[in-house]
Amino acid sequence: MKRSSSTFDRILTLDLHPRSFGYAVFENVELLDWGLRKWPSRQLKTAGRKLCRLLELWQPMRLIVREGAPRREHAMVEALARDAKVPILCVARAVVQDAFRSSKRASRFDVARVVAERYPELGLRLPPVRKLGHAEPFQLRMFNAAATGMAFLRISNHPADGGEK
Amino acid sequence: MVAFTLTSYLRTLRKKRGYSLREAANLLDISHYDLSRYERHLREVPLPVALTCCLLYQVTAQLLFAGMYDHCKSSLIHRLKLFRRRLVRRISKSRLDARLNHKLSLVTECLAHLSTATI
Repeated sequence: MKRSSSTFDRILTLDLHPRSFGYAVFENVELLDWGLRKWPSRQLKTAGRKLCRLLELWQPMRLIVREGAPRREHAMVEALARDAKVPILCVARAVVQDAFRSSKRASRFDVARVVAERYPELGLRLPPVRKLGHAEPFQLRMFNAAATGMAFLRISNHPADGGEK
Repeated sequence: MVAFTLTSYLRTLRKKRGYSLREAANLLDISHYDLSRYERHLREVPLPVALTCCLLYQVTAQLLFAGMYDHCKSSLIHRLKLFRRRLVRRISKSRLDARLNHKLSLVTECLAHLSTATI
């Protein structure tokens, strides 16, 4: 861990799903925290409490949500961000795709692999490529959140961003 | 929104090293409840635990407790400036006091060092 800059821009990125979310916290380009949170169905209060804890712990300056989140969950996050006075931004899926585009269209597993290469501490949790008919691994949400954060850093032209694809 | 450092980066460094909460607590010889509270900034970290954390995660205390370090530094700079002002006032009354002049040079040196020191 390095403190290369005297100015800090801490962001919390979320990949929201109906009963869970993946999150990643960045300080400049440094990954501070990552993980998954889940809650029983129709218990948005529990989800709100879990997100509140993250907001209190990391005190982000911006909240970044990956586009395509379920409506209820997104509304809950918006309300919490408003209460915590944290600006909320949506990052389109196309932006995330563009940030990780190589010769072919990158799948979510390809993106997760690139994220794990950039942040080796996530490598231990990289799920195996899913087989046909199998459900998407739960851990992938965390990688989606980290990828959203990386895409945001790229489009905001962060000076400390290495710019690797 | 004002940017500031966090009090400590205990959780980040533990996760980066790949330790679970219980594993790290066991290595630090504390309960995992306590470690969780230290990581969530709910309780101040005792000095032996802080030093063991530095050894375990192989980082300096300045990096591990960056926010606390910044707070201590800025409050020390403030107090040193007040002290220097008081010394200057005293020196202006008794000009030939060598001890006061020596103190003033030490304080000025310390302030110069703190204002240039970076992590």
